[in-house]
Amino acid sequence: MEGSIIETLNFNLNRTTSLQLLEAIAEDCETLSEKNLSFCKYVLETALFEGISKKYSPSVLVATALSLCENVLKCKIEPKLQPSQKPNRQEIAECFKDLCMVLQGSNKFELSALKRKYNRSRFHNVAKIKLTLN
Amino acid sequence: MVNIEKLHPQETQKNVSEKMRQILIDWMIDVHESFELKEQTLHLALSYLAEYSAMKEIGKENYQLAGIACLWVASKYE
Repeated sequence: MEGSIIETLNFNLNRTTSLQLLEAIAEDCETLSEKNLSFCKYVLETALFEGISKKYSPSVLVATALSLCENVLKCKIEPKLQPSQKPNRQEIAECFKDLCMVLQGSNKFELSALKRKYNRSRFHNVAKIKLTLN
Repeated sequence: MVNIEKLHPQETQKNVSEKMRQILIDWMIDVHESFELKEQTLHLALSYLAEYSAMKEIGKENYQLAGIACLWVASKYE
């Protein structure tokens, strides 16, 4: 199976994931606390779980996670981005809507392993946060 | 890199439902946690799984094997 996967992927195993982008932004962003970072990671893994990550690029997913974090945790995050790095607002709005639907529990599936993982104190219990938007 | 969105993985996987995909990912998150792998490994593994299942018919009898093999490849790559 391992050989089949590597051959099918044509030995191209290098990916830019949304987590890499988030960590790169977090390095330069002083306003992104540990709790905010955990919440963003929870949002990104939820997107992976629900298949939302297939619809949007990593940059859109990260921008949406940061935007959700600002809204839910009532904080101001100012990532240092060049104008050319800023993703499309329309796409962010669509992604925001999709993720809100999932996080508000309107989806029929349970996020059990993810919730267990992010309910730990190591991740600041971010899975317990109720989604109330401004 | 292959555009997964254009490949429609659920159309390629005739025997694997969305519910089965979510059960597999749920289990992969548990395995990832219990082996204390790097956070990046899970993201890479799920990206490999999405791409592989978009390009190849796996079948439900091998779906879990594909998931753990993706996690294995990702952990070695990391």
